[in-house]
This record gives sequence, structure tokens and C-alpha cells, in this order.
Amino acid sequence: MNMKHSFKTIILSLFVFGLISPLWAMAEDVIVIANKSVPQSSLDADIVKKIYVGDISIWPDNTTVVVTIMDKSDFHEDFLTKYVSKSKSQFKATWKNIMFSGKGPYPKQFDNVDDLIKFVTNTTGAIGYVNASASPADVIVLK
Amino acid sequence: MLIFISPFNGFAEQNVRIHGFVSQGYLKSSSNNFLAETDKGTFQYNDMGLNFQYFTGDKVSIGAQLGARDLGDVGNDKVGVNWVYGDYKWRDWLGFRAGIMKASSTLYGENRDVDSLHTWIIMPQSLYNEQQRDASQGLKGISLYGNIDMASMGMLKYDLRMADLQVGLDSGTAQTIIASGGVSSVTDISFDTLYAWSLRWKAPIDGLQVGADGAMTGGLFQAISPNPYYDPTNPLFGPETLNISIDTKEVLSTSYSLEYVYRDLILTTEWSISDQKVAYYVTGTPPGSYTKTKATSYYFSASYRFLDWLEMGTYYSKSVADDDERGPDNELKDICLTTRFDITDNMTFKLEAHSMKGTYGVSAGDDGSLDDSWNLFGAKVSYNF
Repeated sequence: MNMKHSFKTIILSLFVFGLISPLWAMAEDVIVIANKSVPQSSLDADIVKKIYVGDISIWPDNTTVVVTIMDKSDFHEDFLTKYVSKSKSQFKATWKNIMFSGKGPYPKQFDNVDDLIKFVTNTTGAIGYVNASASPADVIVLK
Repeated sequence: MLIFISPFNGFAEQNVRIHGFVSQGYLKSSSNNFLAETDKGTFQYNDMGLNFQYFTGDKVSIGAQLGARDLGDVGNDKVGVNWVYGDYKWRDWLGFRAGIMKASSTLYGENRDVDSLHTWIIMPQSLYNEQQRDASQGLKGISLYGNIDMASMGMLKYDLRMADLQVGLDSGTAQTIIASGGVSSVTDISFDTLYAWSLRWKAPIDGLQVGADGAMTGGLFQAISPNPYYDPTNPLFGPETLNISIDTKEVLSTSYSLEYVYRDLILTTEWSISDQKVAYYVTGTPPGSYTKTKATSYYFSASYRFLDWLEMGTYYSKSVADDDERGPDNELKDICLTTRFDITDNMTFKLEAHSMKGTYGVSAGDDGSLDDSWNLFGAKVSYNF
């Protein structure tokens, strides 16, 4: 009887864990960061969206926006959903259109969070996004 | 010196970027010949390009693209300059370009040579006439452009152009004049200065975009035409061939577009209205009367990305030669179904089927017949970096 009860408990636990695992994965937050040259007031969700669809490429202080992406990361889709309202394929197509018409470069791609943070920290006008657990210092964060 | 090589950064050294694309297609029609010798099946359907861009970092960029295409008798893989221009973006709302530019009076025309940027193999011919693509690219002139942020009212994008059209005697435009009948060859093409404008309004509703475009120009084509009265036994009826002038003036083309994107679904419609006055006359004689023509063409399309690697789409397109002259030989109706496979981030493969009604822009098949109802099959593989 006890073994049967334990077996049911194990199965139930695995089932519940299976349900919450994807939720746990989706729950990791994405934060937008920018170089300290960017005024905090310039970093709002609307401006971030317009930057990442290519509609804004110059900051209010007339410096060039340097766009970075981590399109191979687990949180890339979360970023697109939360800030850009585009699917992965649409985002890619938007920037390829810009690139192939000569109107701008494709965003700078990074595979490593630390490398992206280092680049954004050291590059005037740079903007990027990382998972919240990265806790980057020396950058401004979208609030 | 750092060279960055990644799927979409292309080859990049600091601010220098190199990108490219190549696509190879196959077309086969059930009858008739369309765009190329499709009745027997043809691989004469490809595009390739290599572009270079240098961003100076002070809002100036310089770029160029070399490219080649083959579409039946058009292009024949002859390498040429697609675009080369300098660009100064003073602010997001005001920039200036000068040089040879790609320009388009349609929603998706600017990069129509890059196959991987579209769902379709053959874009709706009602607004994207494949044979006359050269008339909308390689514009030599200047452009003022910008994005005006209207806050809660969305974003307004504009592009104002003044340019000369670069259309050669081996172009699709020249082939179209020959195919329209009456002339055996084109000997000279000249256009008036083109004035064009594009407006795009990204509405406050997510995914909704409305567009309006227009272009004004005129053109004079010199051609050789067989003399219908020629009699080798009687010189009074004139020479065997005549030098003909085809004068098109007050050419005004306007188009309107509506695009709605909701997650992986894209719905689009575009309408084009073309007005012009045309006169045909023997060169050296007065033009006589001009015939006014108006043609309204349009399409509706829908596409949906089911998986990262799978997208399907369909469209209905209607091309019209002249609104006042209806009939199968002055129209082309096209129902298309496409399946696109994204093999990798840089490689796509497409399969496409068309059900066609009408023969506008269509040539007789290998058996000499011109069928009103026919089908077209296409396949295309493309690569870009």
C-alpha cells in the first residue's frame, strides 16, 4: 500500500514538475541595457521597440544607436515578445531588408552574455538585452 | 584588424560590411511561355548580388551592390551596378542620399531581387512586373527621406526622389515593348526625369501599416518596325522597315498598400493605378494624336509561418493592360500557392504553383497556341549571407 502510494506521489510530482518547468523557463526576465552615454530618460519601452525595428537609429543627443542582439539565446524570443512585438522570422526579415537595401547594418550579434555586456559598457550609444540574472553593472537599465 | 564572420554580419571589418545572395529557380508552364521559355521548362531564372557597405560612424555611409540576373532573354547574367550611393542621415527624420539607388513605388519592391526576403518565388505580377523590374531599380539621382515619430499617432516614413531611370536596350522594359507587338527591335530609350514619393504610416495599432506611393515621368522609345505596306516590286510603298517613335507622356503611377502582421500571419493588399498618354508615329513625322490609357491592378495575399522552417502563403493577383479594354488578352489573373522551407538561417527552398487566367504579358507556347487558362509551376533555392 505504501509503495503504491509512493509511486503515485512520484508520478504526480513528475507531472507537476513537467507542467511548471516550461513556466519556470519562461519566467526568466529579460532586461534592456544601454551604454552610460545614453540618457536614462531616452530609454523607454516605446523607444526600444522603435530601435529594434530600425525606425530609430539616432539618440536624442545625436549619437548613433549601436544595436546588439543575442538571437541564439534562450531569452531572444522573450525579448521580441515583450519589447518588439515581432516573431523571430519577422525580426530577421526586417533587418535583412534594411541590410540588403544599404540603409543600415545588421545588429551586432553576440553568443555570450558577458561579451555583450562588455561591448555595451564600452561602446558609446550601444543598446542590448540580457537575462535579468546577469545583473550587469556600469550600464543603464530600462526601468 | 578584426574580421567578423557571422550569418548576417556577413564579412565585417569594424564598420565595413559585405553581404551577398544568389538564387536559382526553375519554371515550367502547362502551356504558353511566361517570363522565359517556360513551356518546355527553364532554369533561366536566377539572381545574384554582392554588396559592400561602409559606415563611417558620423552618420555617413557609402554602399554599392554588384548584381546579375537571368530571366529568359533579360539580363543573361551580365554583371552590373545595382546601386551605389552615399547616405547622410542628419537626424532620423531627415536624411539625404545621392547616387544610383534602388527605389520602389511598392511595399516590397526595394529588395525584390533578394529571393529570401519574400514568401513567393514570383511576386504578384499586378504590381511586381518581373520583366520590367529594371525600370524601378538603378535610379540615378537624389533622395530626401526620414522617419517622423508622431508619438501616439505612430510613425510616418517618407522618401522623395528625383532621378533618371537607367534602362538599357537589353532590359526587360525593351523586351516588353517588342513583345507588345508591332516592333522588331528597340534602338533607343530615353526617360524624362522621374519624380517619385513614398509614404508609409505605421499606425498605432500593432502590426498595421498603410502606404501610398507615386511616380511621374515620361519616355521616348525608338524602335524598328516592319513596314506593313512594303512591296519589293514598288518602291513607292517605302522601305522594308520603318523607324518608329513611341512617345509616352504624363505617365503617373500611384499605388496604395495595406499590411497587417499578427504574430506569424501577414495579410497584404496593394493597388496600382497607372495613367499615361501614348503616341506611335514614324520618326521624323508629327506625333499625331495621343491615346490615353488607364490600368488598375491589384492583389491580396496571406502568409503564415507554421514552424521556424516552414511558411506557406497564397495570393490572388489581377494585372490589367487597359481598364477600357477588358478580355483575356488584356488581363492576367493569378491564384498562387507557395510553400517555403528555411533549410538554415541562410538557405531557403520554395515550391510554388499558379493557376492563371488570361494572356496579358504572356507569349504563345512552343506549339504556337496561346491558352487563356493555364498553370505555372516554380521551384527556387536561394542563399544569402
